[in-house]
Amino acid sequence: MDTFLQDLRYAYRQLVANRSMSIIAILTLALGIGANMSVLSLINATLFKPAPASEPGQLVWVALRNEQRGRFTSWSYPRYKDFAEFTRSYTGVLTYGSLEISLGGDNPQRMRGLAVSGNYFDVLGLRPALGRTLHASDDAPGGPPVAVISHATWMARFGGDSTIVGKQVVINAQPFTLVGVAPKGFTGISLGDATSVWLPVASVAAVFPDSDWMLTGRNSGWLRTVARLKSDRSVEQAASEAIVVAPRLEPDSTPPDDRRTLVVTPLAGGLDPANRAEAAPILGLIMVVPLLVLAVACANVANLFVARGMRRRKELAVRRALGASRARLVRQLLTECVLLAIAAAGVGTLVSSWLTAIITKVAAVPPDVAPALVPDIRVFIATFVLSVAAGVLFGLLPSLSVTRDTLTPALKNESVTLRVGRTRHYLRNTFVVGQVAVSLLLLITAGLFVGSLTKALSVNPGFEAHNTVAMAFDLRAQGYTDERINAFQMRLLDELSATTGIEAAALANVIPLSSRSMNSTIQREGAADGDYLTSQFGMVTADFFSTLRIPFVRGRAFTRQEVAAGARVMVINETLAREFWPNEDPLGKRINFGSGSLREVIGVVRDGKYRTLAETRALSHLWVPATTADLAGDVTLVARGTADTKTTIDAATGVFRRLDANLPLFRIASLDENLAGTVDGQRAGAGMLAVFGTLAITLAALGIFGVISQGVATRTREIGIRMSLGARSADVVGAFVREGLGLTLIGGVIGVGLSFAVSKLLGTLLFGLRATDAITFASACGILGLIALVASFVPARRAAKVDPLIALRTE
Amino acid sequence: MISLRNVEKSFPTAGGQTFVLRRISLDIKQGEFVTIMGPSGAGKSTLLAVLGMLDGAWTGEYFLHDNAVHKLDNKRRVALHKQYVGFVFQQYHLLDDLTVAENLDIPLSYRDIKKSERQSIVADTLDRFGMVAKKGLYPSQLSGGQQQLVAVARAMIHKPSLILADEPTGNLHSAQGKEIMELFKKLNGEGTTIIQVTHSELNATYGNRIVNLKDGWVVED
Repeated sequence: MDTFLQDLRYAYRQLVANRSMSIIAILTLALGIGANMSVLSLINATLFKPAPASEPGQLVWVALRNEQRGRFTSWSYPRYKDFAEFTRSYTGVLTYGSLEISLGGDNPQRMRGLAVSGNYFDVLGLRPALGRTLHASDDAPGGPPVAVISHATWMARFGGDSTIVGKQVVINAQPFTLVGVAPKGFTGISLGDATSVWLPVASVAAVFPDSDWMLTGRNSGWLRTVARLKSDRSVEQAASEAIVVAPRLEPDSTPPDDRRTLVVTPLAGGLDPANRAEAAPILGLIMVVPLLVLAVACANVANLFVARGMRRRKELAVRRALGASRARLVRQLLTECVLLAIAAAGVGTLVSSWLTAIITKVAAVPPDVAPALVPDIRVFIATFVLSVAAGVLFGLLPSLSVTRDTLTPALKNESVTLRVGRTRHYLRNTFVVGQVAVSLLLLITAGLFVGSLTKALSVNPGFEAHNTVAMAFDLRAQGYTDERINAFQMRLLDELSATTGIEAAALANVIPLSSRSMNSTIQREGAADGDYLTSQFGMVTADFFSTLRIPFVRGRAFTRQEVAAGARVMVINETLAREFWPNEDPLGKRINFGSGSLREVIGVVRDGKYRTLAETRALSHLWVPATTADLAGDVTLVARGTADTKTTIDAATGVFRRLDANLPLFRIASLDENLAGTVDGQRAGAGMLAVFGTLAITLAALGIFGVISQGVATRTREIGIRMSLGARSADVVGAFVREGLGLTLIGGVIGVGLSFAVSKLLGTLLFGLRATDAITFASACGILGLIALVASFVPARRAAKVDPLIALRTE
Repeated sequence: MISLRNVEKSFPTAGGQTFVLRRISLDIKQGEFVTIMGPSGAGKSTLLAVLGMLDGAWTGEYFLHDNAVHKLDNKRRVALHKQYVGFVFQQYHLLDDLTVAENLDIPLSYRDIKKSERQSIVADTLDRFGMVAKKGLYPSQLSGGQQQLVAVARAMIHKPSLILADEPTGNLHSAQGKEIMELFKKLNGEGTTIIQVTHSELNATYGNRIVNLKDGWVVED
């Protein structure tokens, strides 16, 4: 311990004594460590962070899994009730499901609600900031309509009014009593829950008319379940019990391939087991990227240490002569490296917050998720361990290299022997080649993702998104009757058509590329029983196709009369037409859609994109005229404006306000934004890779710059001799630039090889671009070559300025 | 104490092997003060490095206190070096970032001596060499003679039975050189074996034996 402290003290002095090098090394490593810390924060938030609850270690997810189909499924309320009754492993079992609700009043708002079992707050062990939480009695059939609001909602909506408890609020046009305020900062246990209001599950019947299925349908899954283990039970014991309990939740009539097992896992991170299973492998892959950046940074710092080691040969030789073993010297040098890496971790924390902010912006991370990315103690520990490992990584080879020498020359101030010099030169070049290879890999991968994103964004969606906006509203949630809904919709469309700046408007239950879609099984007329397919569908008003400018290839759109009369007609897309009638005219043909009724095809529209811009398979789609009932709940207005989208939104909002000043409007966005939103995943990947790729290439450029600079510094005398013998400046510059480009070429070839190897993994993640896209590969190589040229040329130019007379006087 | 038999050292060059030491056979008894002399490139410093086990790439036989050095692995040689050998260099080779006291402490810490014991030994040594007032100074704050004094103190601090000195007064003016040589004489009188490499006839007179090298061969003993 004593000698370790001594090593630490000397290491500190060394780092202070070589301040410039230490700062460069710390900043270089900080970039790599910061990048890792950002991704570790993301992984921590999604997979490891304890739930915001009392004694979170006792909480477990209890998930339903269909092993036959290999996927997790949601809980239905009856299954949850049965499980809570049968199980004996827990002190409490809660369930919850998210809802979108309208909180009425002076400033009506659409909010994220959570329908929860009455014991939700008790099982989580949470105390209210004000009033009380929900109780089991609140969740009984016919229980009182009560609600708990979040602390943020209390502040924003009610100004922190301490007399709020017991007051009435209107939720989806139903009166509810506010019984309490949730603890400050608590918005739910899942990542990005952002809950504003908690309601008892039993109250969904009041909030959503026609929602009996939510409480009674055994196979209608919409809930997630969490339980608190008894103090004497382990996760394994609970899992064993779950094996026995699971069959009791299945009715005897359940087909074998529809039976579910129960999976019990600790509640850690913000993802439920279903999302966790999907995200974990992706996060694992994501983690590789900053590790590569760190490896590039380590290579840079290792090169600095090789150079410094050459300058410290005398000191090391003296230490050896005084009795230090090689192991002790290596330990001393490694202590310096690790100390430096720990200092870099400190700076890396700042870099991380900066990088996280960039990534959050570039990768379009939802604002609700961003706060969870703040690093906690686990992230700091992981970063510390990673930093120590990095210190050993970049320090070990240089330390072994500089302590391997014969000591006598160093003690006599003689220059390093040819063999040792070559070895170290080789080591430094290897580091540069390695970092060029890794940087090119990251650059190519980033290029592929950016190219894929660009392709996706430039693809024809099948309609004209420009100058068109979407706004959602929910009249049923405001307590409108069918008659009022019908009247409202007619007036809305009439007034919009008469509004300056609005060219066309229509209503739809779902619109393409809006993150919401609906599908149904359909059958062409006369087909055999098993001959059906699943198609996307939309219920729309008459001007839907003209508003979105969806081109017709055959037939026509619905008339207003057809919509008003609820005519049994439909419009289909080309894919559906091909699926059902590959060699026939589909017009006049009939399709069985919903409740056993046949509808006549009156038009065929051009295929488009419906779920995401990046979908590669053409999806079948149909549209039917919407009835009042079809558009009673959550409905979207699409409006095409003649000016910019903000003007269009303002104009449409004005019409809504004139018709009902208290109607909450939500999901307000331009269709261009909606389109861009469908490729958020690609954008996140491309954004993150672009940030990390830029970091890596910058570090690689510094590496090339460092090696050439070092070469110039150590070969000053040789340069002097050459120039005194008649070498021109261009010869000297050319020699060093060739050296830099030579290393880049070797690294580039390896990088291209690596990229080809990795392309097999990327193929399925890209849209419209092959993972071996020649243009991307060539562009990345071109960028790398250009950067390498500059990084070599700048120090090489210094060499050309060497004065032979001065140079020949140097040792 | 020291017995060398046919020790040779060479390295490969384009024209074949180039020899630095040729068939060196030498016996040195405990308490001797040996001076190695010879022209530049004769192999004096290399021989000193072999004796001090700083250089392991040689052939022949080397016995130190009856330990067959030539048969030992590097780890055991380091242990033997730690036990018996102290080095003094022409350029002093004090560690610039360490104070006088810390420079003295370094050889002790490499011998895994406890901190309290090291502090006591360093204090005694500072007192013995009259450097108590300078213990907190850095090498750059000392004169050449003072630096070499510290270097000798550092070489002696772990009580080695053998001191190897490579041109110990080469960078000192005559008065300082005399002071250092007197110190060696005193240490030799107390029983320490000293082997010095020098070009100085005057310094050689402090010893009791001269070994002359030329082109790696012992030409006179």
